[in-house]
Amino acid sequence: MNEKKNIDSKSEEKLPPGGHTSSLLFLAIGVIFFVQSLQLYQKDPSPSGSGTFPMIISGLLIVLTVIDFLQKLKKKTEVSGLPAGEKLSVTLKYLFPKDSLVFLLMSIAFYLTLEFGVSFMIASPIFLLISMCYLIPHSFVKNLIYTVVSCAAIYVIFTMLFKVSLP
Amino acid sequence: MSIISALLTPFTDPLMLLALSLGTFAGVYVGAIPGLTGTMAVSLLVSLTFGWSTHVSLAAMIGVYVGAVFGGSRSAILLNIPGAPAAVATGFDGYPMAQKGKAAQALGITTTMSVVGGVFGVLCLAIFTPVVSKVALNFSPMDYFMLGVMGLMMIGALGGGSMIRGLMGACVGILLGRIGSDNLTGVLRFTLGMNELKAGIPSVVAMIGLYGFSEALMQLKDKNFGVVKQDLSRIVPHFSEVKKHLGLTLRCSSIGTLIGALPGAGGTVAALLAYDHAKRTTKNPEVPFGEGAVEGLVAPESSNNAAVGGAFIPMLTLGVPGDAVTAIIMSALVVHGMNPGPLLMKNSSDLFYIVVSLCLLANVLLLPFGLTGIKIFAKFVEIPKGRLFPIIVILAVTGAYVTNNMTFHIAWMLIFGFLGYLLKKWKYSASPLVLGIVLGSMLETNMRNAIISFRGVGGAIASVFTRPISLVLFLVILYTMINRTVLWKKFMSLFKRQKNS
Repeated sequence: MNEKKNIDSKSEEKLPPGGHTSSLLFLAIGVIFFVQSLQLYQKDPSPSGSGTFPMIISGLLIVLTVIDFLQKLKKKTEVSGLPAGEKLSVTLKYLFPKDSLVFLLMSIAFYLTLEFGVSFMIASPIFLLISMCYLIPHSFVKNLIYTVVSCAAIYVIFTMLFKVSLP
Repeated sequence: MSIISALLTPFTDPLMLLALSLGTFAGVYVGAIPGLTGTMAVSLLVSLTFGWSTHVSLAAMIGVYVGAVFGGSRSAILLNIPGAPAAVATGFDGYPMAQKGKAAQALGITTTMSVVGGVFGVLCLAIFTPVVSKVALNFSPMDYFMLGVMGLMMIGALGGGSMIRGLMGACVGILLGRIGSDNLTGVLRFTLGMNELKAGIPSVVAMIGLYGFSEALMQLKDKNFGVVKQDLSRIVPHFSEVKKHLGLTLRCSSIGTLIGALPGAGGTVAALLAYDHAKRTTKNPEVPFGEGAVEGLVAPESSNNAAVGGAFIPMLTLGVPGDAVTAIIMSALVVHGMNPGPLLMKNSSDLFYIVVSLCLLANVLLLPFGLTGIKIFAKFVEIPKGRLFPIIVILAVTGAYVTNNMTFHIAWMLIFGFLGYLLKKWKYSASPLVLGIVLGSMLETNMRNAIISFRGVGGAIASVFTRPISLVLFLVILYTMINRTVLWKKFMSLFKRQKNS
């Protein structure tokens, strides 16, 4: 029992796959904002200028990211010890499981159809039906009913009741 | 008109009563729909009520306001999408409760404690208006800045166990919130030359993405979803449960009223501070915070509803609105020929007592409107996730779009959703990021104003030690920081051991 607990606590200390690279995301955000706020600060170098506050915060973010990275270096990830190719494959599978990835891509496609001028009342039922049929196959009629009811409810609430324009 | 007759006016005027009831009912459902906020509903109502009598239009607006603040908690609990920024903290424990099949219980306790908090805020409005408004008027930019820092102390409670990671998230939130035109100088910052970014990124869009969309992506690991069966046997909380949390509710309601009375602070900051207070003061919660602690629901909900009463205090006595909705109500009152401000109590004190009465009644009405329909709301979580998640995306897209009628904001919602998803995968909490977005503007504007008004950084720092309010706030921050350190915990345990021996 105690042995099992020890194994559990040891596995808790491990970082998730790709855990070390997460610092890169924060570092990139910090550096981009720091460079831009430095440019703003150079135009108005006063403590109450528009570049000062973001420069302090982005500087702080960079410092914190470095500390976090150094702390993480001591820890192993769940994929430590695997060959590079396998490591990458496991990390990608962990970060982007098939269903999450497909759903994300469908959501982006839905946004793009709206951005290119397709009416919300046309794009949303299509998105709903396709995504529902993907996530719950073999239940087309129920999916269709849910699609119709949700689209009708959204249309009535937003457009008819609150006179809010939809995309 | 005597005070008693002014207080009884809403009870004797059927039209006022009807407008208030319909307003509260509509407010609850408006607040529950992501993207539709109380501010939006009240502003739509203003144009409708121009032709109505002052009292009836005021009744409708107050009803919607009170109802919407409460309603925001519903989508936070059921979908993890806060219906309004003030409901951000409600989702921290409300959503985990719904995931455990306790959505009805969460909605029931939320309703009850919202009413207690709301009534407390109104009573404070009636009793302490002159005192609270004087205190609020004496707050300097430095004090508001420190209030923002106090809000950031929440990070210790939200950072997922690591203060550094929490601070990193908050910094990213603050920076993303700086995108757009600078509040003080109008200088464009971090817009990368894009016109769409001039107005910045609305915090609601970020919240919808970080909580709603990212949660849908997180739970889509595989298609074998289990339906979370909701326990609908217990909606109205037992008296013992209400009694157990009454102390916390009253403390958080006091926080809510005070913060609500500070112009510009509002229910969001109040709810976050109350949540932090609950987390620090609740020694042994039945369920840990963040995993469905009832205290984590009681604190923000009682606080943000109490903030409604608080927000009316500076509006009615000083002519300074406490938040966006009271600003709209104030402009509507001006249209109706009333002048909220120092002379209001002298020239038309009856209006003050009518507002008190309407707020009180609207809060009482929350009880039937809030407790009915819970079964239907709770059933929403029982929709198979394969159908619920696409509906959440549609609601998230609609909510992101209607904030400013820009499809560009849908893209931001998706980006925030993806960012929130990655953070969750890497075991970071998304909440500090939201906190940074919400508090960033308050921190920056007041820091810069403090530097300007106290003539430099040195003057601003010195003001902390020369002004009583600033000093008290500074000491509270210092205490909060110290009592979270390992050294302090070691010292306290040593002190307790010595005391016991």
